[in-house]
Amino acid sequence: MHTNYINKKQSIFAETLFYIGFVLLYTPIVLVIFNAFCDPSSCDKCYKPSLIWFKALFRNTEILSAIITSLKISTLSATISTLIGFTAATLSTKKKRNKNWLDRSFLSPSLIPDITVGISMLLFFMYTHKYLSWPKQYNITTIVIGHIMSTIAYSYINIKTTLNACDTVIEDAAKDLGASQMQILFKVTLPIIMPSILSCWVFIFTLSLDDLIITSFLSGPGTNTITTIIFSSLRTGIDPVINAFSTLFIFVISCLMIVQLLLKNINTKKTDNKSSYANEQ
Amino acid sequence: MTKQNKRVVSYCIFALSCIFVLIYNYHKTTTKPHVNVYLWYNMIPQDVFDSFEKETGIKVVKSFYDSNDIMEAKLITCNSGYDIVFPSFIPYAIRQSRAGIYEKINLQNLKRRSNLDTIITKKFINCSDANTCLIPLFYTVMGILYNKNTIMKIFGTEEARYEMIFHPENLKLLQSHGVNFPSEYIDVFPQLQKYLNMNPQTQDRMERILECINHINKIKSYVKKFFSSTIINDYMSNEMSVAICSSDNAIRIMKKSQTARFTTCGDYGVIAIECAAIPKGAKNIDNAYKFIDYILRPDIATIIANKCGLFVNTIDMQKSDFFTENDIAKFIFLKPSEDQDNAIYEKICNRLWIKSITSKQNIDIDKQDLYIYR
Repeated sequence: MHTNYINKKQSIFAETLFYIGFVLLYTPIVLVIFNAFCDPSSCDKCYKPSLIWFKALFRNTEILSAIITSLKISTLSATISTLIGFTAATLSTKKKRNKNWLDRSFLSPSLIPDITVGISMLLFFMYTHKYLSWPKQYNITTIVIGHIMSTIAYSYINIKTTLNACDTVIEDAAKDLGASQMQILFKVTLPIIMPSILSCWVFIFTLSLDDLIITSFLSGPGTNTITTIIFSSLRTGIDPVINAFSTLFIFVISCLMIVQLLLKNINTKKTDNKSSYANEQ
Repeated sequence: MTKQNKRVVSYCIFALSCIFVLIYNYHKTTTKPHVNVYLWYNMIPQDVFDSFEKETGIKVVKSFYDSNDIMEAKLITCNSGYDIVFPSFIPYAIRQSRAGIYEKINLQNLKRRSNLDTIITKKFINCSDANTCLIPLFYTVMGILYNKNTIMKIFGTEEARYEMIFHPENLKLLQSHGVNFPSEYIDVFPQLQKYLNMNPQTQDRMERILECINHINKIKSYVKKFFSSTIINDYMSNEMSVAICSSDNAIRIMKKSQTARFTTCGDYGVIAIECAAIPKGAKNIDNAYKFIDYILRPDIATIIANKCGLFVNTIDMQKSDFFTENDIAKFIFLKPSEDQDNAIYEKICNRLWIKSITSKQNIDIDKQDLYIYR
C-alpha cells in the first residue's frame, strides 16, 4: 500500500539508505568477531583462524569471575525491576485515580542521564551510611539498586502498553463467573501478558549487563563487572581476550533478542486472537 | 483463601526469599584475613596475588577502576571499603592527600622500607607536603615510542628525538605514518617546555602555558590522535608509528613488535609516579602494609616490571637494565606547586589544553585573556 506513495527513485534512495545504515551497524560487530578468531601470528596478507583467544578467556579467572558477577547483577536487576514495573503498571491500569501520578513518577527517571543517576545514588548511599549505617560498604546490592532505578521506567512502559492492549471483557467474564481479584490476575491477566513480561525481562537484562557508569560509581571491593574490566584495561591497551568475550556476548545477546522477538510475536498473536474472539461475541 | 491463591502466594514468597538470600549472601563479609585492593586492570600480574595469598594466607580482593576521577569520587564518600589504592601522584594523589582522605603512613610497619631509599623517594619527600600519607611505590617514564623503520626512512637515523615530533616541518613528514599524543597536558608540557628552552626560574608560569598552547596550535593538525588508551592496538595495526607514551605501554608494545623502540631522549624523560595510599576507614591496615611490603621484594618487583612494564620504586630496580639511578637523576621530576593559586593554574592549563586539542581553529590567547578561563 505504501509503495503507491513512493516513486521508483525514492524507493531506490530509501533502500540505499537502509543498506548504508545496515552496513554501518554490523561492520564493527563483524570486525570484532573476525579479530576474536584471528591467530596472533597472522599478518596483513595472511589470516589464520584460531580459537586461542577463547582458550585464553576461559583461563583468565579475573574475566570469568567478572562475567559471573555481571550475570548475577543483571538477573537480579531484571527480575526485581520487572516485578516492580508489573505491580505499578497493574495499579495504573486498574485504578484511574493513580494513573497520572504513577505515569509521571515512573517515566521521569528514564529521562535522567545515567551519570546523574550514578552520582545521586552515590550521595544517597553516603547519607544512608551516615544516618542508618547501611550499606556497610558498596557491593552487589548497591549496584542492583542503581540498575533497578535506571531501568524501572522501561519495564513500566512495556508492561503497561500490553495491559492497555488487553481486552477487559475477558477479565469481566472471569469476574462474572466468580473469580477473585487474585485469581483474575494470576489465571487470566498474567498468562496473556507473560510473553511481554519475559521480553521486558530480557531487555532490562541486556541494559543492566552493559551498564558502566552506574556500576562504576556503586561497585565495591571485589565486585568487578565485565564492563569495568574492559574500561580499566583501556589504559594498557585492549586485550584480544576481550574480542573473544565480545563475540560470546554478541552470540548470547543475539539469542536473547531472537527469544524476545519470538515472545513478542506470540504475544501479538494471542492479543489479536482474544480481541477477534471478543468482537465475535 | 482458596487453594489456588495459597499456591500463588507461596510461589511469590519463595521467589522473593530466593532474591533476598542471593542479596544477603553478598552482605556476608569473608571472615578469612583479606585485603581490599583498588587498582587498574593489569597493573599487577595475577601471579603476584597468587603467591602473596599462598605465602601469607591473606586473600587479595581486587577491584578495578577505569579512571582516577571515579576512584576519587568513591573515596570522598568515606565508606568505600578499600584498604589500598594506587592513585597517580600529580594531580590526583597530592590533591586527595591534602583533602585528608588518607591514613598517615607508618613506615615502621614496612620490613623492607630500606628498599624504598631511592633517588625518586628523596625527590618525592623534598617536594611534597603530602608524603606522610603516600608511598611512591611505582613509577613509569614518559618518552617517545617509535617504529625504527619509519624514523630511518624519513630522517636517516635509528634514534628518535623530540625535535622530530615538536618541530612542525618534521611532524608534517611523519603525519602520514600516524603520530599520537597523550590526552592530558601533564604528559606533554614538561618535554615541550624543555624543547622550547623555557626557564622556570626566570619565566612566569602563565607565560609558559601560553607559549606551550601556541606551539600546540601550530602542530596539532599533524597529530592523528590525542588519546593514549588505544596506543597498543594503534601501533600493532600500523595506525600509528610515533607517539609520546609511558614506558609501561612501550614495554608491552616492544614485547609484541620487533620494530618498536622507546627513548627518553636523554634528560627529556619525565617520571610519573603511582602512589600507594591507605584510605581513611580502611579495616585491614596491617594486611595492607603486608601487601605493600611484599611488592617491595626484589623478585616480585622484577616480575611486575617484566609482565606489566611498571617499575617498583626499589634500589634493586634502579640497578636493573631498564633505567639506572644516573638516568633517573637526569629526568624531569614534576613537583606539585604548594601555593594557593595552584588549583587555578591547573584548571587554566586543563581548559586551554582541551580547548586547543578539540577545536579545529587556532585559539589566540593573550595573557590578559586568561581571566576568561578562571
